[in-house]
Amino acid sequence: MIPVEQPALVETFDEDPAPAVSASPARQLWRTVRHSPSASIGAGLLLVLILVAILAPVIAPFGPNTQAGAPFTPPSARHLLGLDDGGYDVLSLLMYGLRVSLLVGFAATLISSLVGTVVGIVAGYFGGFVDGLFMRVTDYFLVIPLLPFMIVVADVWGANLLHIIVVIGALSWTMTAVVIRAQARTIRERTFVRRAQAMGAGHTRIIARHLLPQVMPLVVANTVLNISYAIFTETALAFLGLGDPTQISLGTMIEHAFLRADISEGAWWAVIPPGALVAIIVIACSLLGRAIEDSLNPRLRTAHLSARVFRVRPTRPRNPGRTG
Amino acid sequence: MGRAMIWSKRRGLAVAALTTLALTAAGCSSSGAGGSGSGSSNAVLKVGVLQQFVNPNPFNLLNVIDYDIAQLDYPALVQYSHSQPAPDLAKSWSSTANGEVWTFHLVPGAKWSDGKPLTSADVVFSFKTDIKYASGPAAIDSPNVAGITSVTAPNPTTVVITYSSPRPAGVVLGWADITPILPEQVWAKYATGNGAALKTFPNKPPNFVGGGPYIPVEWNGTNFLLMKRNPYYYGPKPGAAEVGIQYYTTPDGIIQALKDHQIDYANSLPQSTTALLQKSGLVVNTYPSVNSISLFFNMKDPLHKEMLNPLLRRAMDLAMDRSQMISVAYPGSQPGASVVPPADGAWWNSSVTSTYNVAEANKLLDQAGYKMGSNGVRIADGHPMSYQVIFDSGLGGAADRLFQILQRNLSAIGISVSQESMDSASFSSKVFGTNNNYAGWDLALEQLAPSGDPSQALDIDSCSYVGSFNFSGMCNKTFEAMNTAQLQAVNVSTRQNIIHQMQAYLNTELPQLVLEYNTTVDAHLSNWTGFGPDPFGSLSPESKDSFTGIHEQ
Amino acid sequence: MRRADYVVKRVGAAILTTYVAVTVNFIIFRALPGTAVTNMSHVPDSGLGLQRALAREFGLNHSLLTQYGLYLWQLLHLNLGVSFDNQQPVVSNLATDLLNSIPMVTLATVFSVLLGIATGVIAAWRRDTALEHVSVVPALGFYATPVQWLGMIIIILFSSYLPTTGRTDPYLINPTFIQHWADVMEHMLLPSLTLGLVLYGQYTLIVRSAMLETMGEDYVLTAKAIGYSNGRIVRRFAFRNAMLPVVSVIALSLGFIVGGAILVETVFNWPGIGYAVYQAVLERDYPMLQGAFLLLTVSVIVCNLLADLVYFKLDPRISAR
Repeated sequence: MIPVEQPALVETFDEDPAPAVSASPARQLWRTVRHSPSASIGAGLLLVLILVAILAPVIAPFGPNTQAGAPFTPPSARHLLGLDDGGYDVLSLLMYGLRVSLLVGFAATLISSLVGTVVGIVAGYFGGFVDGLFMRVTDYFLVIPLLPFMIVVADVWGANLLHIIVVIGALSWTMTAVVIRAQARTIRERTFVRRAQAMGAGHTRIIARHLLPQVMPLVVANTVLNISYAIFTETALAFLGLGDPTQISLGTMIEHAFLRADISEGAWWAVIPPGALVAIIVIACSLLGRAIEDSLNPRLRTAHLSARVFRVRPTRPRNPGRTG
Repeated sequence: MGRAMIWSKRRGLAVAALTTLALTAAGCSSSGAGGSGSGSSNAVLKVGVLQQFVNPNPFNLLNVIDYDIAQLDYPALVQYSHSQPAPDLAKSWSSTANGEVWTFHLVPGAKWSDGKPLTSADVVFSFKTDIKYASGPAAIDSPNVAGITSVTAPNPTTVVITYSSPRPAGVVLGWADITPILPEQVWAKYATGNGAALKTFPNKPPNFVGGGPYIPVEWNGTNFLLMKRNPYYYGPKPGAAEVGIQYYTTPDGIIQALKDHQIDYANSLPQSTTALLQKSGLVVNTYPSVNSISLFFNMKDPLHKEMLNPLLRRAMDLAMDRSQMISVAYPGSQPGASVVPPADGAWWNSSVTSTYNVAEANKLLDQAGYKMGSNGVRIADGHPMSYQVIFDSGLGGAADRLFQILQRNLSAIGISVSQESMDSASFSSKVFGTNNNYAGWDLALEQLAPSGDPSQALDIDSCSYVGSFNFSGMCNKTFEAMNTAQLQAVNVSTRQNIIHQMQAYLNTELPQLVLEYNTTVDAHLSNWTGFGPDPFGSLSPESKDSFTGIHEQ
Repeated sequence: MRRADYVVKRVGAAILTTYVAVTVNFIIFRALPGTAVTNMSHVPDSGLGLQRALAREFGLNHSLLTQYGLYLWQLLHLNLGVSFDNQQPVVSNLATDLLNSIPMVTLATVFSVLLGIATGVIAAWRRDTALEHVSVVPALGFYATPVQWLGMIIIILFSSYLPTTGRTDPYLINPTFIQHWADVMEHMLLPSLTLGLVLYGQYTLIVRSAMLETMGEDYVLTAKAIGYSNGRIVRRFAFRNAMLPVVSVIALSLGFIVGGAILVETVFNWPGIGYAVYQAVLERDYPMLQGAFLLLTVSVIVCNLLADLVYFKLDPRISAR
């Protein structure tokens, strides 16, 4: 069976020894990213991708509209990833496509996170009727089958980048709202909030100074995860022919590969990279997002049956106020 | 994704001497050559297509594939074989000297698939139904029967059609080829009242009664159709006992299916795949197609009035790098110029050509007074020359690439265009506008598939097709006069002259820029042979012979 | 008492949401300006007679309120209009499509859950070892790939061994019951595999988290101290508790999978509800689109309700919201 080294009390979460219990969430967040290998990889990857996207016009070897040779030219020293079905340099297209895909991802997520956080905080903090109302609305939004709805909207309203961003944002805020609301409700019950209320602090002050900072890490985690969702949806829309035809995105690159029989042509260099790049973005977001989520859940840190002994140190006293 | 929308609703017909250029078809003897019968008599021909077939009802035909299937299911007076008019239900025909009265002699003893006699009465019924409901349910066949004043059956094997004015053979036979003859015993009950039942009758197996070489026995939605040999077919016995037609969504899928021997024959593949198909050991046949892609100018009520300036249109024509469009997007195509394609043989005016001359184009625009602005875009009437091109998204990925080249070509002469992509239905609505006012747009890109007889290709610039296939909205007295003349020119060389003149005229008017003439690419496994040539491929809307000759070696 | 309360409350909420969904559906598809979308009688290529009949049936010449009433009435009679495409009732089209989707999606879910549990358990058990990474990284990797792209790769890899298009072999004439279902299963393998691969990653992570959480509980430490073997502890405690979130996620995802299977069904030509939605958009088949949309929304509501009820049954500590 599975051997176990020692049934000792182990702390398997690699974090700074004896962290201050009252460390601010922001601080903890930073610490998480710094010390967790997966978070660092995720953050690092994202940073590189963002840089490449921003600098694309400068570092791309060819323009997105420059026909560099015959279609389906295999990779060479001059064209590291060969040419696609239109004779465009795949490596350059990847960079420009990254720009558009990341733009859609970030912009749509900005909308959804903003709306979701606001709704979640208001619903969770105020509770009662307001909460009930918001939750009914969220309930409905949650059940809209996203892709079919977007298909309809893109078709009726017209498919351009702005519309796509707005639609993705407008339909994905609910997931953030639900999570933030749960967190807001919990925090509302905490003693320090009650204390502030007792001292006569107004709602705005409490929300701004106490609630928001506590909720922020969760918002960040959620946002990061939503980015990958938004990018996925963009590639799905592009695949179904509902993307913006005037923009090159990773999704439209995949779509062109299908439409022009790239695989049968043997032009793997035009097929694999865009899909792989989408996967990389999503993995990076997932690593970072989940690491942040993990850090917010203290119970994940202890595992009595873990196979590997990591460090032996006294278990941290469970703070009764810090329930997940 | 999406269907390959080819504007094919009316099919005129094909041509006199089609030259043998680039016809690499497997050998096929003269018209009427059916299956030699060699090979297994139970052979099933598995066909793959990239278009969805919509509806077995002949009044609801939409895509080319629907016409292909109708051609195989129903008799017509004539068909086309090697692009020449050839006997079908009518074994011979003649006309009076003035071309107003046409007599067709039918094959005697013909039967429908339900055993009932197939006679001139059915022909008369079909034509009369089309005429009676031409403005309603039978709208799809209205151009086929335009101008017919009477259809009679003096005896069971003779049909006499009288026209109101002289008709050349090409026009009469062309329309007759795609007018399916329907069994009166099945359809008479629907051709009553307002005829709405004609379109709603499902016409599906097992109640399908047809007269062509094949009868559908299984029709599953839009993806699969199984046809069996019609034992009562009046023509030569088809080589394949059964035919299955299967829809594939992507070229990769259909090519993979061919390579894996899941299908035997793929019809109308993308031109860019020709080389790779040949490398895979498949037999590839290419034929000059009648399809072409054109950039249409709004000649009726453009958003920007400079569209009506012939200098602008000529300049844009000179700026088109057609050879690059072809090499990138449609390898194997021919550069476009005249609206009548070279596939139409002697009807095509070979002296109408296109040139690529950017310097000349810039000169013309300077001459027209469109000064170059600071950002490389010219100014006309105080606004930058920046336009939207309405684009039919059904044209697919290759057309996207063509558009990108067009865009670059135009920016080289100081005109900026962007792609406004929409599905085919929205494309028509946008182009035709409300009540055919053609308002609110300047440029449109679309593919046309006018069948072989040049009258169809020329009709797209005629007044009568405004709101249906006339995308430029052109309606011009000079051209109309010529068009009427050619539609009544019974003498072939007279007609040819007029048609050549019309092409030259359009080349100065330039209501559209024909960018390229497509090539049809068919591929099949080497154990099958007998694939007849046709501009549409062996599975064709205008020929039975090109398909019935197919058999296993 | 409390249980009944909770159930009633959840079912009530579900019914309310359904009503909202039905109304919004009406607004989107019938009440917005623009005859193309909202004119249910405008069946292309149909005769005037059919158009008039449909107009009468759906009260298109009356006020919106009347139309709304008629709409609800028709809905209760399961009349969703006639498909523009094949001129058959929308309801029967949808039923066929749904029945086609369900087996494929079920197989995909089974596959993803099994694989997810296996990899999740391994990842939690062998935390911080190479084995954890071997389990988690591919899970994450597959989860991250665009499913349509993965589908094409799978087609290329397996096209010589398994059918890659459609649900049945159209050339299989008069199959026996066994032959038919063997044929369907054969066709189902690749699409389900593709869908399963992109889904299993979430189960891996859930199972892993849940197991780690449970493994950190005091009572597990106690059990260990008492002398239970690790395997027994995993089976009796960790696994059981991990199943809770897994089950609820399954139910929650089911609603979304059917809609999200659009991509897989399009790539593999699988004639399910996702494919129907896509075709309906392409062909501007508005009655089908409206019907499919409603169906998908309602199925998500139902699945969410089931998830809530199941979760509640398994974990009575949860009180109603």
